[in-house]
Amino acid sequence: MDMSVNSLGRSVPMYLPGVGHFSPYTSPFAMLGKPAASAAPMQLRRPMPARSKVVADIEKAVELSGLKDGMTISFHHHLRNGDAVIPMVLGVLQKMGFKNLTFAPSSIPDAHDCIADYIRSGLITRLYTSGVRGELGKLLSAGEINIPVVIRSHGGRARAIEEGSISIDVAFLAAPACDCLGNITGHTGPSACGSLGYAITDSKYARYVVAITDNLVEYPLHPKISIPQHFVDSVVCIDSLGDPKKIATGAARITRNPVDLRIAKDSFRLMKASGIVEPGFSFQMGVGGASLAVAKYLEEYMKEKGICGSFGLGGVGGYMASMLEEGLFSTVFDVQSFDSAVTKSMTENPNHIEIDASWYANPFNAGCLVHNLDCVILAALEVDTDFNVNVLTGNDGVLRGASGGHQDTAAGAKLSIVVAPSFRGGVPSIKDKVTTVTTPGETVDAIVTERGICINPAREDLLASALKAGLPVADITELKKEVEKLTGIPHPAEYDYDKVVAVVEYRDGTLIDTVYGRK
Amino acid sequence: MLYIPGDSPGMIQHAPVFGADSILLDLEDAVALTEKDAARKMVACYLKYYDFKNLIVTVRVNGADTEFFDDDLKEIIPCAPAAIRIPKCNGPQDVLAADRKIEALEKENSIPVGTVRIHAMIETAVGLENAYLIASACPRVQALTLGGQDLTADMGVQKTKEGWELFYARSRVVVAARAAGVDVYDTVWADISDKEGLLKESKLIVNLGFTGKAAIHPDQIETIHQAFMPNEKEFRKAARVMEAAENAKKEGKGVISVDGKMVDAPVVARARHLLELADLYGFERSGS
Amino acid sequence: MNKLILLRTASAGTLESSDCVVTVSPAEKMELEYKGANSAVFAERTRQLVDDVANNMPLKAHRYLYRIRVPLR
Repeated sequence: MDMSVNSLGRSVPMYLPGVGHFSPYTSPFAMLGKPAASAAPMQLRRPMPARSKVVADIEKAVELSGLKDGMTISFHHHLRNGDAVIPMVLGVLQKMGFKNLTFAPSSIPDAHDCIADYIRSGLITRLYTSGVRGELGKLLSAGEINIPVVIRSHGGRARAIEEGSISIDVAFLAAPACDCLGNITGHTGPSACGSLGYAITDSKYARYVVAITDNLVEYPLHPKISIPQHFVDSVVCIDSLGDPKKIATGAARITRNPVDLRIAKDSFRLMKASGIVEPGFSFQMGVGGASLAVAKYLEEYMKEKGICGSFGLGGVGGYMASMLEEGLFSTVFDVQSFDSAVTKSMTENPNHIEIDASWYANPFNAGCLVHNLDCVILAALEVDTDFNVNVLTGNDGVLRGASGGHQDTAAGAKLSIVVAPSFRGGVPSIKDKVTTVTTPGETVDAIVTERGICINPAREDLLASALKAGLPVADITELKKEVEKLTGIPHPAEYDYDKVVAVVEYRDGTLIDTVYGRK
Repeated sequence: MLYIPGDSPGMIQHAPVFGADSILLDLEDAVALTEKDAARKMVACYLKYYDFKNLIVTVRVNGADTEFFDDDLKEIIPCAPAAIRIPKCNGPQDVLAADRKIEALEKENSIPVGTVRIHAMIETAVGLENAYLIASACPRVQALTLGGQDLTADMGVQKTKEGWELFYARSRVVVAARAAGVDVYDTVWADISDKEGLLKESKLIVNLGFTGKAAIHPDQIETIHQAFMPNEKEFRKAARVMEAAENAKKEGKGVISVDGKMVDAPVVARARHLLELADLYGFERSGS
Repeated sequence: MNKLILLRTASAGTLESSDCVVTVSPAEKMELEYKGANSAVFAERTRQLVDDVANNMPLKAHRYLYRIRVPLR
C-alpha cells in the first residue's frame, strides 16, 4: 500500500483499495477558507401521489428500494444499546442473499456484535463508522477480516455524505413516531430516543429512505416533525424498535469517585481562570465520569454568580437538560439525546432545539455550531506529550472506542479541555506517542489529570492565567515520568504494519492516522 | 487527616490527590487479621518508594497488646514516617515502652533519634484520666488523638451525632494537649453522607481548640477545611488588630486600641494565628 | 539457613482495583500465569519480579506455579 507521512508524523495510505484516494492530514483548518467544492446530488423522486407509504414488511421495502449487491446502506445509532433495528434489517438482507454491501451507520452500538458475523458471511464488505467496540473491534484488530474500514467523526460523516464520499443508496431509519406518509420524530413513542440528529442528514441525501416504526400515529404526526415526509419513501411497521430501558436510560449520575472529582474540580478551576465563564458563554459537557462532573462545579458557580449561558451543545444528557430548565442556558442544541429526561425536555421546552449532524459539526457548510462553542470537556483513552488524543484504541491496540464529536468540538471550541486519570488499571495514560491519533494536539488546549493540569505550550495566555490563579500546572513530559515512576513503563503492543485494519479520517476528509492489526 | 486502609493499594496510590494535609495509613482496625503481614509489607514499600509530595504520612500500628506490634514497628520505623499512631494508650508507661522500642530501631537503622514522632490515641476511660501524663510522657509525643468509637464503647454509652457524651472527653483531651504543648486531633464522623452534621461537629471542635480532625473519606476533607477556615469578618478583624499592634510597636506605645477598644496580648496572639491560618488557606491580603 | 518447602497452595491479595491476587502452589515446573486487564503490557516485568522474589527466598526447589490475577477492566 502506498503510504505517506502526515504532519503529525503518522503513516497513512494515499489510496485505500475498495474506497479511493485520500490526502494526508496537514492542519485543523487547512481545508477551510477556500472556494466551495461541489456537493453530492440530492435524489429527486417522482412517485405517483399516494395516501400511504406503508408496506407489508422490511423485505418489501428493500425490493422497492432497488437495493443491489455492492450498494451502500445506512442507519442511525440513536437507539443506542437498546437498538433492535440494525440486527433485524441485516438479518433480512442476509436472508435475501445480498452481498458486498457498504455498511455506513452513524456509529455502531456496543451491543451489535452480530456485525462481525455479517462481515464474515460476506454481506458487508466495507465499513464506514464513527466507532468500533466489543467483538467487532477485537475481530478487526486481530486482522482476521480484511475489509476496508473508514472511521469518521460526526461532523466528518456529515461532510462525507454532503460531498458524496459516502453515497447512501438506502437509509433504514428507526422512527419512534411515524405517520403513514413518513413524517418522523424521535421524541415520543414507546421507543422514544429524543433527537434524530444523525438520521436527519441521512434522510436528505439517501437515494431511498425506509422508515421503520413501532408506533404508527394518526396522520399527520404533530406537533414536532424531525424528518418531513418528502424525504421518506416507505414505511414499515414492526412490533418493537428495541428495549426502551436501554434506549432512554436513567440520567447518568455525577460520579462519586474522588479521583474523577478532583479532575473535574481542577478542570472547572481552569475554565474559571481562563475567563471563559461569563454571561453568554456556550458549553458542551462530557458524557460521564470526570468529564460530566465538571458540570456540577460549573452549575454551582453559574448559580452563585447569576450567569446565564447562551447555549449548551451535544450529545445532551439529563444534567444539561436540567441546567436548561434552571435557566442557566438560553438554549440547548441537541444532536443526540442520552436519557429520558432529555426526551422530556425536548418535548416540553421550546428552547431545547433538535439539530442535525451537519448543523452540529460539519466543517464544510456555512457555519456549524461547534465553531461557536466556547468550551468543551472531552475524555480520552490515551494522550501524548504533543497533546494528541486517542479515543479509538486501547493500550493493547484493540479498537474499542469512537471518534464521535471529539475532533469537531476540540477544533471548534475556544477552550478544549481533555480530562483523563494519569493512569488506569496500572497503565499510564500519557505516552510519548498515542497508539492512534484521533484528535490532533493542535486543537487541545489543556489536559487535566488528578496529578496536574498540562497546558498546551501554544497557549501562553492560558498558562499565564492558570499560574496566576495558583492552579496545579504541570509539564506533561515531567508528569509522564512521574507516573511511570509509580506504574513502571508498559511494554508497547506489537503491530503488523502490513495489515491496515482501519483508516482514521480527520473531520475535513484528510487521513490523520492508521489502525494496524495486532501481531 | 485522611485515614487510608493499609491493605488498599488503590487508595494509597492516590493519597496526594485528595487535598488532605496528612494521612494515616492504617494497619490496625482497617486490616483483617489474615492480611496484617501483607498490609505491613505494602505500607513499608510505599513509604520507601512512593513520593507522597507535601503530605505528612503517619502509620497506625497494631496495639502493644497484639502479636503484630513488634513486627509493625520493626518494619515501619526504618521507613521513617512522620509519626506512628499508638492505639489505646492507657498511661505514660505505654508511650514510654513504645518510645524505647522506636529509639532502638532508629539507632539500628541510622535514623536520628526522635525523627519518628508518636501520636497517642486516647480511647479508654483510663487513658482519658491520664491524658496529660500521656501527652507529656516524652518529647517524642507530638499529638493526642481522640478515639471516639472505642471510648464510648469503653464508657458503655452510645455515640450520638449531638456528641454530648464526648463533650467532657474532648475538652479534657484538648486541655491536656495544650498543657503539654502538643497537637490534638478529633475523632471520625462516620456518616459520610451527612455533610451538614460533619460541618457542625467540625465547627464545634475547632471552637474547643482541636488542631485537626480525622476524615474517613476524601469527600469529608473539604467540609473539615471549611470548619477550620476563619471567615472573612474574623479575618478582617484580625488584620485590623495586627495593624494596630504593629503601629503601636512602631510608635513605642504599650497600649493597642482597635475600634476604640483596648486589645491585649492574647487577642493579638489569636489574630496572628488567624492570619497564619488565612495564609495557609490562600486568602489574599487585599485591603477591604 | 533452613530452606523452605512449599507444602500447599496459598494466596494473598484481592481483586479490588489496583490490587492483584497471587496464588502459589506446588507444580511440576516453574510456571507463571498472569491474567487480567494489563497482563499484556506488564507480562515481562512481572515475570522478572516473580523470578527475583523467588530467587531471593530460601526455597528448597524452584518448582512452583505462580498464578497472578489482576481485575478485568
